[in-house]
Formats: sequence, structure tokens, C-alpha cells
Amino acid sequence: MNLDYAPQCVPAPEPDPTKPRVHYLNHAYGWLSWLFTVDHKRIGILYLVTVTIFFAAGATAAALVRLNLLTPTSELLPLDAYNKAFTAHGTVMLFLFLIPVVPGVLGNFFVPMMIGAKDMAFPKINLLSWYIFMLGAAFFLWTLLSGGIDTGWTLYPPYSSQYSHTNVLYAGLGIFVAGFSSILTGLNIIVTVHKMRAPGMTWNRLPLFIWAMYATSLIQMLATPVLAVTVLLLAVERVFGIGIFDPTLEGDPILFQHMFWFYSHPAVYVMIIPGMGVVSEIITCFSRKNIFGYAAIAWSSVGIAVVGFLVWGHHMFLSGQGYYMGMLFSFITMLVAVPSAIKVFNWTATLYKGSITFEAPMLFSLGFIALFTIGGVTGLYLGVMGTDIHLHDTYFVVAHFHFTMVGGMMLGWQAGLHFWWPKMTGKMYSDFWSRLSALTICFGFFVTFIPQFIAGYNGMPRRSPSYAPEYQILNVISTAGAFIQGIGYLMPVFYLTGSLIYGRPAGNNPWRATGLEWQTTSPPPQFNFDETPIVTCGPYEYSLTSDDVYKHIPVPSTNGVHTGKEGVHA
Amino acid sequence: MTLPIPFPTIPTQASQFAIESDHLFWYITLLCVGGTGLVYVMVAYFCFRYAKNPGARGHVGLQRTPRILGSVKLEFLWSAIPTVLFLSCFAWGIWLWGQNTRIPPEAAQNEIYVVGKRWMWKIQHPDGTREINELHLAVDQPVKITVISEDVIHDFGIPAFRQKIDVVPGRYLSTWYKPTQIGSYHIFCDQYCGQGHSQMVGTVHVLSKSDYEQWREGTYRTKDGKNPVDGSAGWLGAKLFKKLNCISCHGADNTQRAPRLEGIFGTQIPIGGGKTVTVNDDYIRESIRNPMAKVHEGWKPIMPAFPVSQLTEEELLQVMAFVKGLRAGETPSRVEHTPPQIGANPLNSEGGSK
Amino acid sequence: MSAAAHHGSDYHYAHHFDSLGQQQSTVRFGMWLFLVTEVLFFGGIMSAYTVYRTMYPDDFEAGSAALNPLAAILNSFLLLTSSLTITLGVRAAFDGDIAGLRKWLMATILLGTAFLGLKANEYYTDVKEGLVPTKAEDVIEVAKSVTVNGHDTIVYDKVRSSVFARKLEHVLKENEHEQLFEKCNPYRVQLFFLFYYCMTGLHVLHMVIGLGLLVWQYILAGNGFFNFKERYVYVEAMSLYWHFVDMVWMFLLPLLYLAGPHSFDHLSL
Repeated sequence: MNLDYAPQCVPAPEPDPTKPRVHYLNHAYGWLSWLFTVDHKRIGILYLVTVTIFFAAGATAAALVRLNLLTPTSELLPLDAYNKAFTAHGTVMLFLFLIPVVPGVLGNFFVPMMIGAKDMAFPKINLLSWYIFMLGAAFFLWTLLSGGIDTGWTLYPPYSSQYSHTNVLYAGLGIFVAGFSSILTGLNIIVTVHKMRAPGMTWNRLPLFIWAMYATSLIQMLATPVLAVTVLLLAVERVFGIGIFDPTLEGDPILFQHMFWFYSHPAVYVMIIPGMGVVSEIITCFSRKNIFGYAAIAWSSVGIAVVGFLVWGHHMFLSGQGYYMGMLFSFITMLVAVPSAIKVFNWTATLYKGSITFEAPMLFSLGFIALFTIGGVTGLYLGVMGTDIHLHDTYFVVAHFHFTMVGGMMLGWQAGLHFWWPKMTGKMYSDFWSRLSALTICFGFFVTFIPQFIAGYNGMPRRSPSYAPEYQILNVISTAGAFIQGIGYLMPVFYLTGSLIYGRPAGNNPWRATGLEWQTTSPPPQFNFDETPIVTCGPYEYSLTSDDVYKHIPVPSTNGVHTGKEGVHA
Repeated sequence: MTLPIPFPTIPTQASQFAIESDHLFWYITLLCVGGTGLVYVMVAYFCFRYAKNPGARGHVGLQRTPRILGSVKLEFLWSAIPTVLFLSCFAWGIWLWGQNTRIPPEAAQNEIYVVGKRWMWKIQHPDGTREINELHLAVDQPVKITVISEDVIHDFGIPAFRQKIDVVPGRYLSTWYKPTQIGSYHIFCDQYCGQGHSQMVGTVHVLSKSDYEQWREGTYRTKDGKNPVDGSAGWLGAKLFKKLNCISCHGADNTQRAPRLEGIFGTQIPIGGGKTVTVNDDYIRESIRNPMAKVHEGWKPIMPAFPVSQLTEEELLQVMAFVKGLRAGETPSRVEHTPPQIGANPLNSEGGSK
Repeated sequence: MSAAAHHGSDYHYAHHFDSLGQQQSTVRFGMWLFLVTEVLFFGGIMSAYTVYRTMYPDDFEAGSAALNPLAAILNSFLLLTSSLTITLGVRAAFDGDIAGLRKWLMATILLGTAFLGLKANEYYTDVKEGLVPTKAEDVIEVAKSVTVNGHDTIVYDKVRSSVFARKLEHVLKENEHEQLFEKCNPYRVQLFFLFYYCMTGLHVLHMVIGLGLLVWQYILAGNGFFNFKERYVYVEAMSLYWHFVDMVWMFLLPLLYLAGPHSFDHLSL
């Protein structure tokens, strides 16, 4: 073994391609072997299939919204149909796609592998959380099929509790149930990271993706229960007609907003921190360099997660919460922006003096940096109280959160999927088409959302099926961009599916990456590693050779691996 | 060159606040373009400068990259500089917000009520003139805007003024405008409020001083002679005061069951237990909607509550205008000398002056 | 991949663990984390309660005065005792004393069931007394005196009156707290009762789930599952959950029952 990078453990030998090999995909066949699996990798694949379907559903709603906005007078859809379409887009994309996508698919699949564990800490609860997620999704489906819901994903009372004639209750139930899936996934990941690390995998050697997933899980675990209770109270108010939040019955509608955003603001970090984790893995791998500022990136993830709990009030500057409260929230909002800036600078510095190649995962990651930076800085306008007066609830907000959540999370997700696809399936996809897809999505994204910043600055309110005619040109450009993006999102469906059949074998480690997950065979064996890996160095030693590490650092003896508590399980 | 179709760029700055708001907007834009540009240029330069020959991909034993792990100095620098810049935006932002919140006295004299109702804006001027979905203002004349909703949460936004305020049921929120530019501008509802949300739009007309006077003359109510008070909020409130039988307890010829309201606005009244309360908009509103909350000491809590079904938000404002303007000796007295039958409308006996 | 544990028994831990200690600490840690989410769950609703309690102190006092504190106090004793019995159960499981484990589990189940019985009786009384939030309103006639031509006369006004308000007035009168009724707004007292039913309801739901798990462990103990005393950790995790449910009750007691005055000479079930 003489590699020009230093993997975290001794890599497994390439299996003999002529001999049949048993791995997690083919050790059992049939529907039941999938539906009753407790293997974290198979559960990850279950999530992959389901969230892709939900993404398609959410994207269809988005297409309806964008088509309707081609004309200022809402000629395609009646007003209430449009309201249902944008609500469907919001709820499905947030609760059924963005929140579960990276924790559910990549988190499930790779958290145990990256820390050298055989499975999640609680494999059965892991499966249960997928079923709970599907139950929540069934409620959403029920909502959509029985006429949809028109409250917007924010469900503000008294509209949602006393005035809307749509199925708020089913949707609320969906949010409630899907929330528990989110809690259980988060809990499982945290326990796994704490208790299941392989020998030698100290906290300082954890890949940054793990740090990001840890921070995400913290938010999922701590914020989601509050949402559950909030939705519960809303449901009680709606069913029994008693005023918890209705001011005509002595309730306080602003209290709902406080409770809702106490969950939902941290939840937007659930939709971005995993993307940051993915990008941290990829930037360092494709520039063949150690990550710049490992501790800064790791702690900024945790910092965002913690401080992110204290900024919810910046959604409510104009709701009458008071000057000094607004001031406090605005101040903390400025502070929570700093860790994101730190991350962007660290990624940029990682490229310095690298040896950079531009495969699809790298293109998606660079796209992530480009879009997320814009998404981040435009948050400044909205967190500053003075400018938020004008921009609040306009298309400026819409463009801002799409830049972070779609530009960020969607590209992060695509980057991660393309990065780990060879490991998950053992097959390599088309180089040309994947790069084209990355470029198309980025280009389409700019065309879609830059005009929305201008429309928002000019005052176009969000959630409006009809609008003043002077905004039409911006909306037409935006719709055109949305369809360019759509093409970009469709491409992977074809070339990734195609690669399952026609793709060339990827080999154990096509990117010559250092993480533990790359040191086992592709697709991985049923219990991830044929031998428990022993971690000898940090996660990103691309500038050392394997000789540097294994000759100079004594390899710990394999004796005593099974004794558990001897210093390796912190 | 002009485009054949309108392409919005910078919206009109039609108020004092719009100009101040845009200063901050462009300051933040400058920072954002600078910061983003810096990142873009560096990423692009590094990608160009340090790209590896793609043909060599996948080979083993290539040129080494330096093992750079980080730099505390740099981390400190790029944490501290953004923090300082962000905090400068924050400080400017709260100053600007203060401009928006602290209502100057000359604006407070000119209070316009806006009631949001699905899906229209009902606007009432201090002289009683009422408009729907239109708001006429005089240029350079500061006005105070007080908003409340009759049903769900709305948001009264005027992009040309860079102003916006949530319209929440059950509580009054206020802001103020000083329009500086003559013209007509959009009013939008910015908080999603149901089916007709996007059509809950209106126009604010900023008129010159002379046009504004003419507009006011043109809509004067001239019933009952040329009484300039007729049609005003206080006038309508006085009628409601009789119609809803407030007069039977708060009237001039009754002193046993309820306090007189003359000159009570703005004073402190005792509410028992040594506590006092200032009679302001919110207290009057509470005392009508929910009289038992804070009862004037010395009086029995016998007043019935008036929910929205009996007295709309708009009518409540009229009653309030009446109470506010009630000076000593002005309390009306009952015309009838026999108690009205249950359910009788006292206004019927006034000879159809309605 | 499983390996024999150190105690000499032939107990095997799950495939994905490297050692018994790892498995046990994982179960324990998982339960603690789960309880953290539960804290946030109850914390959310208690915060909402606190907001309204601060906004409407008189009304919440009146609502609390209409509740039955005796049932709550007895229930507190039952639950606290059950926390003791389940801890003794953990001890028995740790020592491999299956008979003792079954005995203490059964004691816990009985105490928990007694709690639920008392609680059900309390709900029954509340509903019978009409202390249920409702929108319903009646039109009633209220007598009032009017001065006509210098003479006081009684006239009747038709007034819409909340059904709940009249029931509340009745209950408060029975408890000799009618002065509280005069200060309160019945709609706000309804809010109190809404929180009362939601908070105690969620607590009861947690109790029912806990009892289900206890019964399950009781059956498992009978089937020899706990003959491997390494499995005591599952009883321990169960006891953590039970203690938590207990703790929630210790918060509900002051929040709901002790927020208002009670005349102790009217205590009854």
C-alpha cells in the first residue's frame, strides 16, 4: 500500500470482479426484505426513493405556481387553487423533502459508516421513524387528495383556526406525525455519534459531515416537540372553536407565531447545516487538501444550532412584538450570521494551493458556495429591523430563503448524492451529463431567483396569485428560469437510474477519499466493514501519503477492540 | 433607450422614510456585493490557478499539496470583520426602526384609522371621511396610522413609502407617514389572509395641499344642513351611543349605574385594589368588548359586553371618537320619557334623521 | 459478531454493538435524550400556559379554584410512591430477583392505575359540573332597575349569556369563591380549562403508554426475559421514563391546582 493520501483506516482490498460478492443490496431479495429491514443502509435507500417522489410532488406544485404567475391576473388557476398550490409546494417541500432529505438518506446511510459502526444505535427505531414519516406523508396525501389546504405552511391563526375552509386538521396531523419521525432520527444519530464510534475515532477525528449531522439532530430533537404542541393547540382550537389564539375569544395570535417560529427558525437550519456538512467533505476531497480550519467549521455548525434557537423573533418584527424585543432578536440574528460567514471563508481558503478537479460533486459544491453566499448576505437585509419593514413578506424574502434552502440544501443534497452514489450503488454515472446537470441547475437558479429580489425590492407581496402589471417581466424571467432548473433536476433521474444498469463499476474509492466509508467495498457489505476499522488519523489527510501516516504513527494493536469502554467510546 | 415593457428597478421614494430606508438598503447592498464579490473572485481565482490537469485524474503519486490546517489569525480576522460590519447594519437598522416607531406630535394630531377586513381596507380620516381601498394624503403632512383587523392578520404595506405594519385582530398598532412626493402608489396586503389576499390592494394618493383641500370639500356630507360635524366619526359614534343604549346608563339624566364619560379620556381612573388605569384607546376598547376586565371603582360591574357581532371594529372606533371628544356638559340625554321596549331602537323616535 | 459477556452467563448483545457496556450505556443515553425531547414537549405547552397565566391572573385563579385539589394531592402521593416501587423493581432486576421484579412492577402498575382511576373520576365530576370549554350561549333575562319619572322600576333585559359562565358561577359559589367569579372573564377561564384538559390529557396519555410498557415488562419478566440480569437496563430505562412522568405531574400540580384558593372544608372526591 502506497497511496498519495492518508485514509483514516487501512483500506479493504478491491474485491475480485470475477467472483460474486454478497453485499447489503443482494444479501436478501423481495419487498419484505426491504420493508422489514433494520439495516441503516437499506432504510437510507427507502428514504431516497420516498423523498424523491415527494420532491417531484413539490416541484409539480412549484411549476403550477410559476406558470400561474406568467400573467398578472392569475389566468391559469382560480385564486383559491393557487393558494392551495403554493401551500402544497411549501408544506411538501419543507416537511417531506428538505427536513428529511439529508438526515434521512445520507445521514442514515453514512453516519454509521463514517464513524466505523455496524449500524445505528437503535436500528428498529430507525425503521420505525421511516414508517412514522410515511404515516405523516399519508396524512399530507390525504390533505391534498381531499381538496388541499390554503393557509400557507406557516398556519397563522386566526386564519388557519377559524376562517380557512380547507383541511387544516389533516395537514396539522401530518406535520405532527412527521415531526416525530424527525425527532427519532435526530435522537438516533446523536446516540450513534456518542456511543458507536470505532476505535480511534475521537471527536477531533470526526468528519465534518458528522459534526453537521450532530448539530442538525440537536435542533430536530429540541425544536420539533414544541412544534408538535403548537400544532396540537391549533387543532384543539380549530376542532372545538375555543380561542387559544383567537383574539375575539381572548386568545393571542402572536403567541402562536412565537411558538411556531421557535421551531421553524431552528428548522431552517435543519435545512442548511447538513448541506454545509456535505460540502465540507467534498471541497477538501476534490482539492486534495486538508480542510482549512477544521475546528472552526465544526464548532460553527454547533454554534449555528445553539444560537439559532434564540433568533425566532426576527420573523415577527412587524407583528407588534415591541421595539426592544425586536432589537434583541435583531442583534442575535447578526451574531448567528457570523458562523456561516466563517464557513464560507474556510471553504474558500481550502481551495488555496489545492490540486483541484471539477467532477459533478465539486461543481455542485462550488454552486452551493456561490448560491449560499448570496442567500446568506441577503438575510442581512431581513435581519436588520429598518430594512425589514419594507422587505418583510415580499418576494425578497422568497428569493432569500430559496437561495439558502434550495441553492443551499438542494445543491448540497445533489452534491452529496453524486459524491456518495458510487459507494451506495457500486456504479459510476455519466461524467458529462452530471456536470451538465450541475451547470444547468445553477444557471436556472440565478435566472429564477435574482428577478425575485428585484420584484421584492419593488414591493411585490408574496403568496399572491395576481399582481400589479409592472412586475410581469420579472415573473416571466423567473418562470423561464424555473423551467431551466426543472430540466436540470430531471437529468439525474435518468443518468443516475441508467447508471444502475449501464454504469461502470465504481471501485471501492473512486474519488480517492480518506473517510472510513470509502475504505470498505462498494456497495458496502451488510455490516459495513468486514473488520472493525481502526482509525489512525484525522479525516482529511490529503496532503500526507499513507506511508507518512502508517510508518510514523504506530498502528494500535487490534487486541482489545471488543472490550468497549477502554478509552475509545467516549 | 427605454424598454418597450416596464422593467422595475428602484421604486419611487415617496416619503421621508423611503429615502432613509434606501440609504441603509444601499449600504447593506454595498457590503453584500463587496463580501460576495470577494468570495466569488477568490473561489474563481483559486479554481483557475490551482486546477489540476484533468487528464491526470485518477493517477497515483501526483504532485503534493501543502498540508495547511488553518490559521487562528485568519479565523479571527474573518470572524471579527463581518461581526463589526453586521453590527453596524444592526445599529443603523434599529435607529431607522426608531424613526418609524416614534410618532411625532404633529403626526399624532392627524390620526387615520385603517381597519383590515377580508378583503378590503376600510380607512377613516380624523374628520370622519371614510374611504375603501383608497387613501388620500396631503404632501408633506405627517399622519399617524392606527390599524386593526376585524378578522385575520393582514399587513398594510405601501412600498413607495418603504412602510409596512401588521394588522392584527384585537390590538391597535400604529405607525406614521410623511409623504413627500405627489403621485399614486400601491397599497398591498402583505400578510397572507386567504382567498382574496392578492386582491386586497389599494391606492394611496398623495395630493398637493390645494388638491387635498378640494378632495376634502368634495366628499363632505351635507345632510342635516351644512353641519361640518355630520358624518364625522364622533357624530356617527354619538348615534351608536344612543342606538346601543349606552345612554341609558352613561346618559346625562342618569347618575346611578355608570360613570359619566365627559372629559374622561386621558385621565387616570381607580379600578379597585389601589390600582389605576389610564383611559386610552385600548382601555376604552377593552371596556366595551369586555367590560368586566377593569371596572371603575365605585361602580357595579353590570355593563354587558359588545362583541364584534354587535359592534364592528369600525363602529367601535366611532364610539371611541365620540368618547374622546366628549367635553363637560355635552353628554346627550334621552329624548324619550318612557323606557323603551326591549329591542326598540331609540333612533326611530328621532324622526328618521339617520 | 456478538461476543459472550463477562458475567459468565450466555447472554448475547445485539449484533451492532462491540460490548455489553456499550449496549447498556446506549440504551440509557437514548432514554435520557428521549426525555429531553419530552421536556421540550411539555415545556412548550407549559410556556403557553404561563403566558396566559401572566396575562390573565384573576381568571386563572378562578379556574383553579373550581378544580378539586384533594384528588390532585392524593394522586401526587400515588405517583410518588410508584416512583419508589419502580426503583425497587430496578434493584430487583439488577440482582436477578425475578419474583421481586414482578412484585414491584405489579405494585407500580397498581399505583399508576389508581392514579388514572382518580383522574377519571375527577374528569367525570368536571364534565358533570359543566366545566368544559364551549362556545354555546343562551339568551336569558336579567332584571335591572330603571328610574322612570322619578320611580324605580324593574325591567328585564334579554342578554346573551355564556353557558360555561353560568356553570362556572355555580361551581365557584359551591366552593364559596363567588368573589372570584365577579373578577373573572369566563372566556379567559375557558382558556384555563382548555390548558387544564390539554396538559393533564397529555400527561394521562404518557401514563397510559407507561402502564402499557410496564405490563409488557411484567409479562416479559414472567417469560424469563429478565433471567439475564444484564437486561436490567431495560427496566432502568423504563423507570427513567416513569420518573419523568412523575416529574411532569409535580409541575402540573402547582400550575393547575394551586394557582387559586381552595376552601378545605369543601374537599371531597
